[in-house]
Amino acid sequence: MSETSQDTRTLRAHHALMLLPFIWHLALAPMINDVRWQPWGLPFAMVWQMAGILVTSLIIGTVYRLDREPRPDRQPPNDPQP
Amino acid sequence: MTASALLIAGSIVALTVIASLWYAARHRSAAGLNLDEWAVGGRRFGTWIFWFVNAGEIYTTFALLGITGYAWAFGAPAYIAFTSVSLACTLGYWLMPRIWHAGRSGGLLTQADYFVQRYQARWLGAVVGIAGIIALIMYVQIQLTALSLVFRLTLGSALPAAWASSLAALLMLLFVYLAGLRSAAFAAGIKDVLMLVLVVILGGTVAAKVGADSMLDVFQRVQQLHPNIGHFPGLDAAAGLDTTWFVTAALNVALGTWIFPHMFQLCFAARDADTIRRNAIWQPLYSLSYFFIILLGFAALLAGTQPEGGNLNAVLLQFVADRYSPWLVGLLAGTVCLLALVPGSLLLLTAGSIFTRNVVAPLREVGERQAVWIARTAMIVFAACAVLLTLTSNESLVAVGLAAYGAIGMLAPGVFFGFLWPRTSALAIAAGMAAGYTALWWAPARQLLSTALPGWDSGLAAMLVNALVVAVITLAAPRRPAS
Repeated sequence: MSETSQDTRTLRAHHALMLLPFIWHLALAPMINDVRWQPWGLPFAMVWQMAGILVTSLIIGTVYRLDREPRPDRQPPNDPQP
Repeated sequence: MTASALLIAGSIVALTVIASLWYAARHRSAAGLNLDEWAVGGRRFGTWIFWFVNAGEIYTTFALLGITGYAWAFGAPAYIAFTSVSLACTLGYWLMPRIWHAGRSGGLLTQADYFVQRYQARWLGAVVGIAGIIALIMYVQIQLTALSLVFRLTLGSALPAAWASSLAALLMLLFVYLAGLRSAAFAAGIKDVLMLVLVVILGGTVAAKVGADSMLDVFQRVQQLHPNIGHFPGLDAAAGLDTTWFVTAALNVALGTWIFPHMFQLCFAARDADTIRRNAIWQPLYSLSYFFIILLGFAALLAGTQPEGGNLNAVLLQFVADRYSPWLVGLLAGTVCLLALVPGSLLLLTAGSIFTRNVVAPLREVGERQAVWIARTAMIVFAACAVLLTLTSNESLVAVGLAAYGAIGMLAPGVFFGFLWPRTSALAIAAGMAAGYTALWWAPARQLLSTALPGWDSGLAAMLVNALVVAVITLAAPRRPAS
């Protein structure tokens, strides 16, 4: 596809943050499963997954903010391709 | 079930349908109803309406009845509800604006349109269209199962299952014929508010109903009674729902969420890419409400709820019918109807438009009037297929849901490679799909794969096979001259 210059299409360093939800929810799940601590009497594995939701929202929000910060080498968004 | 409960459930459904039709009529463009308006809402959805229609598609009866049943029968495996939206949104933040952009610049209406445009092959569009329709029918099956459960609860279990699901399908078709995406979005908003109200009321009162002191006490008691419930593999170790299953199934759901044709198509309806990105920030928080849904499943376990025939999809309905007053039973029945009806009708609508546009139209000339006729006839056939599936299957809604994700996951390599790897060709994608479906549905291949990747969700394993085949063929193919 030729129209790949739109601002949505470039990956930047801070996009690596988006790996964190996968690490939290999935990669750490087997380890967390062995923790028998029960905060507020709740199963820890469940509290962990719920906390992961908050973390995810926070991370996507952060990435969104960073995405909107102007970048010197970037054209204004939605600028038609020359 | 008392008459008052029936009355409440009936009024909820009727009022919502009428209000949503009125809403759509008011917003209809002066030019009349065209395909763009009907299928992608005129591509003008802002943040709020996009949120609601998106939530409407994610939080269906799969969430309410499926997850309570899963918590009741297995315990910890129900946590998959917490991960699916989170990870789907993380992925969606990256993927959905790309889908939106492809849709906007190419004037696309369906997911198969994307394949036609990206891979320059109408035949691939037809193949992908049929594959998408099959997965959609499996998803409609979930909604029909739920609707017929409600019918049998409200009208008495003397109603044969075949009648109940046929009636459910009829109701769904009626709603599709009358509504477009915009009415569905409005009805989705109402049903979401109702579901939240219901979940909060049920969650807030459930402790007292089962003799616990507080919500947290419900969790404590159920863990005392069943020490293994809170962690994997949960109550039934023989079911194979361990952490390996959890990680692979959750990943497969996240990868498949936007690949479902109706979700893919929904991206086209957004006003701009920013709407989609903002939605991805807030959407995960909504899934915290699964706390209450799992709570209800655990409470039903404490209460010793025994659904008819041990059917775990009916646990919540049975529990509420046993322990709550008729008006709440009515509220639940009405809400579940909407939870099934609204997403279900959108699924049929999507399947109908794909069939007309990507399967029939390439074969022969189709006029405007004929297109509508074909779409509507096709929807009846698809609904009938879903009814048949409902009658032959006794599985948990979650299991059916995961099977549907497995099926739709076979289109995922075509979408992801489509955006990431310009060299992939139509032939490679089709070969990958053939290999993937073989791995998924041909018993010997499936068995072989499950020995190679023990404990994996079969959908993710098959998607891996699919992606590998695409990669190998793409690398082996001679490089095309740069265009």
